[in-house]
Amino acid sequence: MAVERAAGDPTFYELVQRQVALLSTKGWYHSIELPDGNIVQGMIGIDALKGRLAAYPIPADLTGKRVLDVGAWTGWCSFEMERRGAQVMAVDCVEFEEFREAHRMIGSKVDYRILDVEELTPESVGLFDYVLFFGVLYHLRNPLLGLEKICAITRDTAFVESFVTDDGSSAASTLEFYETNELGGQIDNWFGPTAQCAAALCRSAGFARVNLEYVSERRAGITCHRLWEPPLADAADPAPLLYSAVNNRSNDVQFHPGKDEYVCVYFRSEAPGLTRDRLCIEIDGSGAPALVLVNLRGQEWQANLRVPPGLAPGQHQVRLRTRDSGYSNAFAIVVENAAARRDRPLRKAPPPAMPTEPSPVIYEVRNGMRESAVFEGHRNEYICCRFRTPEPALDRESVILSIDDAEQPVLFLTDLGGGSWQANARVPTDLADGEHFVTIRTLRSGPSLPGRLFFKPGCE
Amino acid sequence: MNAAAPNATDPNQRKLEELARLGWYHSMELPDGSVIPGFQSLANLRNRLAQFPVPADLHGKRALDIGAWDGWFTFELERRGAHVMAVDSTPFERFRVARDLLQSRADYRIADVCRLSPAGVGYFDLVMFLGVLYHLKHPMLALEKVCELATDMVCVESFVIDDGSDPAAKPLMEFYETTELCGQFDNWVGPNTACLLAMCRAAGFARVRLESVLDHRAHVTCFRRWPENENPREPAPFLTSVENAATRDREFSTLNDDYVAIWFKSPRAGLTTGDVFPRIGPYGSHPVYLQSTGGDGWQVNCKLPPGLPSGWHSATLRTTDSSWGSPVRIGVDISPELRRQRPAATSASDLRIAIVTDGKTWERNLVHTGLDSCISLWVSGLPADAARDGLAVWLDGDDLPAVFLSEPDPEGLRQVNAMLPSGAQPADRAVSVGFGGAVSAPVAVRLV
Repeated sequence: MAVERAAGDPTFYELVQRQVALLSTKGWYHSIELPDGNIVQGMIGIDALKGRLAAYPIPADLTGKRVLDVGAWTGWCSFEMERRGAQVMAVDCVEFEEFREAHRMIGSKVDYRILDVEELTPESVGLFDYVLFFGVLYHLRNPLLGLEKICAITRDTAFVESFVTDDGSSAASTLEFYETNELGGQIDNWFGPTAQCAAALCRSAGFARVNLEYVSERRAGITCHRLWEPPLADAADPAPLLYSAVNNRSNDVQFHPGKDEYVCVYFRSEAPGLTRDRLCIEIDGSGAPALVLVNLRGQEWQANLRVPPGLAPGQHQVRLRTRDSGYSNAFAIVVENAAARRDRPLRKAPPPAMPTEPSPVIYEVRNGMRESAVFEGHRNEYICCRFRTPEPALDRESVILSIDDAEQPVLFLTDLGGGSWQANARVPTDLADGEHFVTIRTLRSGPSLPGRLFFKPGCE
Repeated sequence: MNAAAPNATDPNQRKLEELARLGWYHSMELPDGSVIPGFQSLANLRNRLAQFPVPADLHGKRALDIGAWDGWFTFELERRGAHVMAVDSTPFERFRVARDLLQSRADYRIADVCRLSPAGVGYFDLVMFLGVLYHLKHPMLALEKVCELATDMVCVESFVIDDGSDPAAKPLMEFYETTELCGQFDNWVGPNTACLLAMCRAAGFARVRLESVLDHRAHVTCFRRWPENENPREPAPFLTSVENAATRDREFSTLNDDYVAIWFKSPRAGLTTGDVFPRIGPYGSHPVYLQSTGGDGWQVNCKLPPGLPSGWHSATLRTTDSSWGSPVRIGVDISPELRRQRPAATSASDLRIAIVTDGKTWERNLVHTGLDSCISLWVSGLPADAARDGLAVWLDGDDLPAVFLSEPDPEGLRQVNAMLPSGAQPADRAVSVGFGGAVSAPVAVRLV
């Protein structure tokens, strides 16, 4: 379907020019109600401002909530959020004297900061229950980066308002690019998305649920939730079993802060005909939508998702459910501290001449993508080996896993409690067909008795 | 029957067969002339490279191959004499195998494009950016990073959604949320050719040239410099002032999207953006805005080109047939230490107002009051390094904000503009300027 272009549309150009002329006579952009009931008239009337806000499911009582208003301009939204009881921070890329004046006249306590969207991080401004992101998206050269920054500082919901190039009826997900002043004769516009594209950008930025509230006069309102809807009380589907959650590039549980990385989750679900939109994956409680869902066989599934923006270094819990099930078990991924990563030793020590600890005992060997010890030589397959040892405080560097006497780097090690441990490692794709042997040792022990795996390329 | 069929026990043939099992994307020609067959034939790879004006001799040049994959382009640039760094987002074993087989000395790094910086990898004469852009979520950011690393030329090859044949096509880009493009989820954007060209220009390159579009692949050469004018036939432009378009001072930050505003005089009438070639440091930056300021005066705005190291740089420009104009010094990412190294401001001597006019009508010794009322003074005796913020303009007792200070004109006069208070009433007043403790004699001006 062809999209009607916004740039070059004479009606739209005239509308923008009229607005610019109006702004230069009014001075103020937002109208502002003063405590004495008087109204400073701006370019946008109080009713229009209230109408725009009413299109979003923003609670009437925000007591105890932290709210961020990005692109605050004169500040009507900031002051309205404060009136509803929130602790508010207002951010703009340039300082507006009108904001300062309104702030003073109202006696507001809103924290006003001059920052670019790219500068908004959990470290610089903290986290917010609600974020307003009105009229900013199309002014950014990297709109998806801007939305990621917003997502990273949102705990609950972000409300996005943007210029769009269509009336919402187009199925196309496209962006117009404005090199200079093609849009309305203004030079501060970079990208014009269709309404569908704006919603897709919000989803890609890391929000769990995205709802297009309205499209009207080339503006769209979008509500972006970081949390899934609460699970049903009488969940009909059995809870899925999560086998693993790994970095899709390395099959490791390590993730690097700031990189564009993806998680592969492998799980078992008895939900019939599972679809992407019925799958709810969470990382530390925040929803992360699946980008792809692949049925590996029967009830075995793989889903890929983006690492949500803004995860701090350390361990994070991944779990999932369907819309009609309880939660699966959790699986930990680790966001690395870049400095710690550089210091990791590369080579393991040779086996000790005289072991000082008893050998580990392997009690389970299976393919990390399913519940059997059969491997087919897929690139993504890896081995999960569970073992017991009395040694405390093991780490990846102190556990050595070998397949047929060839050492395989341990990608992941977890303490299952009670002296049980799980080590994951890659399986070479060029093993001979048939049975192979896995052993585990630590830096201070001799090798375990072997566990068995079976290599059957293409047995499916 | 094939008489030339190689003997299956030939060790070379066995080695080749083993290598072929690695699943090559690029075909690879080995020193002994044998070829590891890949998904892309040698002819195809050579043809891709031939779309760009890459010199046959790259001795002494530093080249960067972003998204190197198996490394054919890396090894070809090395064969032409360049010192090559290859970068990919994931390590490819085949690259390492090929590098060993070819005894290449290419420096192989695993990094995301958006995390490359001159501080980490240095600068490159030539950057190959082939088949990567549409895999990126933030294509503009990546193009800016690539521009920052390049000192001369960047070859960009990208998937495009059209064939580039419609000259009136407007810039448009598809966004792929999941697997919309070819069932692959590693594609993020699909620009049309016009959009690709516009993004390359907006990233900060001086010149961008579409070489070809072959089977939904556009080949774009991006240049960081303007060509030199061998036989200038026009006088060089005279730069009256250079400012940060946002802050109105002479300092710039590479962290902001900063634009450079240049005021200049040119004898050439009817200039268009295609006739003006701004240059900051060694890098060209194309005009995004040009307007006549009256007479032979012009203002041009351009993006601060990416990749300028912290320090002082010359801003200048030329027109189509002129040589470079008078340079003006600007600061980029000036640290407090650098700022302290500036020569100490000499005090003004013989500070004198030569001419007083209305800032808009240029009428002498009178100024029209009203909204945006402005007074212009031509002043002599200011030290060479005088900046606007050290300058005071007094209208009798009123301290007026100085908004503009030009470079000295050929008579040594510098233009100072100051805004009048909006409520100024018609009256006969006197204006004077001050700098560093010196104050000029007052000059009469009539407010009307």
